[in-house]
Amino acid sequence: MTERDDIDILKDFGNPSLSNQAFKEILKKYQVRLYWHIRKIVIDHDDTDDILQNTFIKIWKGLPSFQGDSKLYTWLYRIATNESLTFLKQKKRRFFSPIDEVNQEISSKLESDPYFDGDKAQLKLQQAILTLPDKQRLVFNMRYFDEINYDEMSSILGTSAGALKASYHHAVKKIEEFLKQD
Amino acid sequence: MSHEQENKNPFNKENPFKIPDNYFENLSDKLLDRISESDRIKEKPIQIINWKKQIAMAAAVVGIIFMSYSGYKMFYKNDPANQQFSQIIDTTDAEYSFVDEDYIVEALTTTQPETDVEGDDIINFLVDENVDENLIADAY
Repeated sequence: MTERDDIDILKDFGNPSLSNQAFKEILKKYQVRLYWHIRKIVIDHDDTDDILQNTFIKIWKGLPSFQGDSKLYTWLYRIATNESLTFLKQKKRRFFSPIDEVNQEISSKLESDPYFDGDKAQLKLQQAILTLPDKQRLVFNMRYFDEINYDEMSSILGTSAGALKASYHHAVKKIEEFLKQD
Repeated sequence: MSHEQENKNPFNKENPFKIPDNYFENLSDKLLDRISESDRIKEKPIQIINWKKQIAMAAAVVGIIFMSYSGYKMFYKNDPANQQFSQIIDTTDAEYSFVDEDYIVEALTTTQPETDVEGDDIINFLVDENVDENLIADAY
């Protein structure tokens, strides 16, 4: 089944008798991309599941007031990003620990995670990425793995494209340094 | 591979993470259930108990009771007639509280006088009281 254009889906969502069906279409169209975007930030599958559901609940509630001043996908991505960063902040607050300690905790659990299927090299790469500050980690994931261009990233994260480029290059340098260590 | 291409992909891009089987297939049902549940909760009217109103009504009832009692105390007991009566009750209660009610009842309900009154007693009474016996003779 070919995916419909976002504009057509949103038109249907505006019709009360079609809103459920339209929402299902949005869900099917974007759930995978949003899932992996969140997963790369929080790493754990169960946490990702919670955040993804919360994201879509927010999407459901927010869609009636979505003005269309940005692309639908940009808006969805922004919600997912904010939910993920909020989750990490809350985790830090809950355990009274700085964010890098939270990331260290995630990194140490990775090897025994039943939903992590990577080899030693991939494990080390993920651990390297987890040493980055959260926003820089976001930038790196979005640019490197999702191949999102800087302009689109800028509208999602609310940061200038130039700053994002600089952040990405620093991230690459840090990861390379980490991987050189034993 | 050129230097630029190497720099573009310096790290392994393969995804090392797994997901549970049928995760995405089940996700939409789980989500739609959650959404209908939250919509159902929103529609249910929340019965708001107006505590202020309840408290005000209770206070009004207590006030009415208090004022009635105060009025009774003020007007009924201050009436002289009622005051004597109430004083009698108070006095009686205080001074005769030791009296056994059963004794009084027995005394009042006894049919036989304790002593018989004889004829000489009557005459002696009449003499003591200075009653003219001729008046009695005329009467009978």
